[in-house]
Amino acid sequence: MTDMKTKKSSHQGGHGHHDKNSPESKALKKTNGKHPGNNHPFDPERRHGKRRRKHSQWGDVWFRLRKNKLAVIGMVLASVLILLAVFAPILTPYSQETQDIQNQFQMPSWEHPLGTDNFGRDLLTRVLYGGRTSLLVAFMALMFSVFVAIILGAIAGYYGGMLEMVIMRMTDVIQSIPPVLLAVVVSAALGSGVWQTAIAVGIAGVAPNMRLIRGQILAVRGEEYVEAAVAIGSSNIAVMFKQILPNVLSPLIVSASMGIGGNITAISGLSFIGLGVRPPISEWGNIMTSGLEYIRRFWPMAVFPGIMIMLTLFAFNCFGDGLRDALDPKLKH
Amino acid sequence: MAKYILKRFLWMIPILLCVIIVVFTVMYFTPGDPAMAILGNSYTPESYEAKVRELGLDKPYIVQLGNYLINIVTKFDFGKSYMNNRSVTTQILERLQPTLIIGAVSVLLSQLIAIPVGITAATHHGKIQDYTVSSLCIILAAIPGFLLAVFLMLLFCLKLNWLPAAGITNWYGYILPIVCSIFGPLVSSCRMTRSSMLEVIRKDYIRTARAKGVSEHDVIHKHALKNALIPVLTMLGMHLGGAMGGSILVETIFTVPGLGILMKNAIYNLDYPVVEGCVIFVSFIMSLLMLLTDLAYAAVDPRVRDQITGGGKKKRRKKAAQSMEGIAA
Amino acid sequence: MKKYLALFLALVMVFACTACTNTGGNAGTTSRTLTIGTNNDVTIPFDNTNATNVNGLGLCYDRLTYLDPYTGERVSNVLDDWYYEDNLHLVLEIKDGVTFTDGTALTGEDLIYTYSDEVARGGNNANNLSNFDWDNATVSADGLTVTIPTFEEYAPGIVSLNSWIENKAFDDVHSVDDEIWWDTVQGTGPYYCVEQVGGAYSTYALRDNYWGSEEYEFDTITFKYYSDLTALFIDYENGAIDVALNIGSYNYEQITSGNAKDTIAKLEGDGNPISLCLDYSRVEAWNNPLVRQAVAYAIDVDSLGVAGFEGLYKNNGSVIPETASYYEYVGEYEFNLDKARALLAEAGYADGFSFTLLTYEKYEDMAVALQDMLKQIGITVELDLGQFMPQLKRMLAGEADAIFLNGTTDNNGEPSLAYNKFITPTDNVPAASVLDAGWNALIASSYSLDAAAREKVVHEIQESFYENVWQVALLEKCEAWCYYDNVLSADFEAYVGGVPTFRVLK
Repeated sequence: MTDMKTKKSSHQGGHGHHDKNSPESKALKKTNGKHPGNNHPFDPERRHGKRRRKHSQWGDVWFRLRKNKLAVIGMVLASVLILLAVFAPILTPYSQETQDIQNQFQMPSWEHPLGTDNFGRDLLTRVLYGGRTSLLVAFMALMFSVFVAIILGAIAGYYGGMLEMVIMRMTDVIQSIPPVLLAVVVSAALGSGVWQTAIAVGIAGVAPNMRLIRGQILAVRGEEYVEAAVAIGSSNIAVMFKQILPNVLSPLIVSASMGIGGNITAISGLSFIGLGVRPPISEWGNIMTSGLEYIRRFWPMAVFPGIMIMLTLFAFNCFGDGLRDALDPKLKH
Repeated sequence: MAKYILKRFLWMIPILLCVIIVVFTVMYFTPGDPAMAILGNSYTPESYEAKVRELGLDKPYIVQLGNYLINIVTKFDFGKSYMNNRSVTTQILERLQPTLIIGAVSVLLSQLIAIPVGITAATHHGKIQDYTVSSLCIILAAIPGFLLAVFLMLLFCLKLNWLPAAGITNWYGYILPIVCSIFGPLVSSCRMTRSSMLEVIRKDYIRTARAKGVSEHDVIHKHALKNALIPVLTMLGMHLGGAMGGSILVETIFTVPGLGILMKNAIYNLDYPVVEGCVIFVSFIMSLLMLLTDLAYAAVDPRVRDQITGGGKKKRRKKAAQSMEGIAA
Repeated sequence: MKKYLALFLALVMVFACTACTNTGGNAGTTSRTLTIGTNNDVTIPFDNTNATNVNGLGLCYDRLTYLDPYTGERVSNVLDDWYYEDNLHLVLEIKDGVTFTDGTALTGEDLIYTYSDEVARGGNNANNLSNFDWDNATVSADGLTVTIPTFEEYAPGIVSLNSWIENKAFDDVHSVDDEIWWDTVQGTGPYYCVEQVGGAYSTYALRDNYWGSEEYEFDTITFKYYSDLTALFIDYENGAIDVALNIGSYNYEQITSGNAKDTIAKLEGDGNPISLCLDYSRVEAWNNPLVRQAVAYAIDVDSLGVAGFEGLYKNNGSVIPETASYYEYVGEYEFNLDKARALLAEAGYADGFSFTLLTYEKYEDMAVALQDMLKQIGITVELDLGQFMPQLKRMLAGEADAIFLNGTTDNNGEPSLAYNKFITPTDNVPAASVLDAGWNALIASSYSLDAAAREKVVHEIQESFYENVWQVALLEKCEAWCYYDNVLSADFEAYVGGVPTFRVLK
């Protein structure tokens, strides 16, 4: 019997006639003519017979992310917030500067969905424009952190030696200063304004990201594909950017998406002390700070920006969590 | 081991010196004129010149930095406040106690709560406890600290009149600031404990322990916990440092006479010596704490301990092996 | 689990220890205590820039003279009498038996030391005090009569001698840097400082060795610092404090509309009217009085007050505070945009002009409101906002097109001293200078002992000022505070020299 089976199976590969209902042919159908060696019984993706045309890494990540309900909520919410910020001027008929002091502190109404602030300006408009500023500064701070972290981390990880030591010690020094105090001191030094606040908040985020990148680079440096690239004569920088960085990006992305929440909190905190972005430029933090003074007579001014901040933090935290789980499936399964 | 500890402590010195230099330099370039600030209404060009000379502000950057460093290192003297001419060191030491108390108590309490909760969530992964804890963590992480502080104040002080709204004249006054400071470290430690436990539980050695028949309680508490807690422990220093830095917001709202308020007022009044002194002081404490947690980490985790001291042992073993080979050959 | 229990116990012990060290001050005695809450940090010792805790230190120190809040007359706690011997010599007669906190007697030496030291230090009042010839001042044998020559006839007058009287003997021993100054006062007043806890509170108690014969209502007065106004008023409502300074307009409205039991609310000007000053050398248009008047008509002071100070303001219509002697209401510029535009067109600036307003956070809201108002008549205002000190420096360096100028009278209400600051070209604040030569003569003529003559001159000054409007008078910021009328009597008139004083007589 075994011989017969073996004989039959030796006729596979499309040569000649074969029994359509034999287990082998059924298996063949399922694999659509591909080599049976590709059939992995223990591959969870194929256990139920599903198949993938492209086995892309990012596709897997996206798939896992979609399955995570909380992450999806976070993603959707974050997109909504970003859209609100981008399209703020179109969404509201009021200008954020028009004052109407005699009508200050109006409670929410059809005319003013969130009410008016202490200058009689429409609060919804201020909050929308404030979102623009807050998100913009948060992203700018993030860009700054990541940019500097990549440069420093790459240099430290790749070149090593004296350069690495100097960079690591400087990072130790910066990390010795509590991040809030660091942001405060730098903000006091640079003054108030959008890019100044972005740098002040971004500086605290450089160190952990830099260590992350350096760690990843150190881990990956000995890998074969790097050696291969060096062997065929690519310059150091090309190797760094083309081979190494794409592989170290995933923890960086996670850190970045979680970092936005921290940045927004830091920016609002700076406004509270009197640094950061100052009026009349609206920003959730400084609307809230002025609003806290009036909280007993007019709660909307402090509460609504606070709700926006909470929603933003919630959205980016969920998204970041989901992203981290998606990028590292071992944890969940 | 002792050499390692000594080395770490010695490394702290240049780092702290660099911290002083960095902070001084950043404040040096901050706009604002302290001589003007002190003179205020009684400004005349002559008195201004005199004040500048008195404060030593006309000397070049290097000289000022040098004087500042020398004063700190030799006399522990952070200079004098521009606003009220009192020694900065005296003021810092005066205000240290409330900040330290709030920081230490809130971080300790947060760990006491976060670790068991994180463990429970991890051991009941996928069940209701896990979901509750995770959701709570996510929600709490989204609330900005000062909004929570004001809300709590309005609730407990105004509506319920249970607690004083400001000051720490009796110990009730500490409750709200501590509660507000707890949430940050609480949430992050809880999530870290949970994910760390989840990771450890799936490790092979846990499976081995279970297979060997060790009780579940022992598996969790004796084997898994120790390994899972290591990353949490290393964060302890950072949490304390963060609590001391974040005290600015909490202290402002509840008028706790600590370092945070001192710093805030100093920034507002451009009182640079006080700002520099506070930041440097807090950085000192934070470096020390991080060093201690690192050492504790090394003491607790035998793998790290081996790495530190094991260089010697490995060499000896290798030599022994080689000599054995030599004999065999 | 045991580990956790141990940690918990350790925590409890830490708490208990700190609680022990922090309780105190609750000794139940029958003495009367007054607790005052305020938004100003009451524990910064007296310094040159902000005379902080003027309330507390005012309990401990005496000024030479002050205006009685009830009668409006100039009185003194420590002098029997003062007069001009001739046009150039001021004589002071000190009461017998006045002592400082440590028991040393007050003599003429202390007075001479107090004021000449202020000149040497460059204190707030140094400019006026340097018109006295301190080097040639003499003290009688018994130390109770002081004769001070002045450089100008009848000028500047007793009003300038208003610093707190210092104890020369004590000051000679303890330098300015001495830590002893943190909680030790050496004044002639009835109270002394018991305790000062940085950033929290400061406490004053009645002196056992007080030389005066009056009896004071409160044995202990404590000032508590609140960095947050909401917390301040919450504690007031809960009865933790008896007096709340700085209560903000919302709480003031609540109280005055009858929503707070037994509470009396007071609104007092801070004696510093604010005006808008432009630098005529930097903004061409400002040289034309029509332009200045146009701006005055374009400003809605009520909106400014609501926006800038939440409604806690007074519309004086003048740059002189109402509390000043010889203050007169000489007219007001109503809010009339059409008139403003007409005047502007008549002046030839129908298209408007622009300038930059340099100011700091305290006046941020008012600046934003003003910007909007002037936009209505075509004047573009750029805002240059920043922190107080850097901005002040730039103002004094003459970098500002326009600023908000605080009232320049001292709180003792002598306007002639104030106008000095308007007329000298070498003044600190160039934007305030007025290039009218007639002013010099006018001011000089106000230096006279004849009250009626002075009043007449000051009236002329105020009228001229109003018509020419070199500054646009905006408003005077007011402070709202409140107290329980079962603690302080309901008609408690507290303001002495522009500051609430809590020396309450039985």
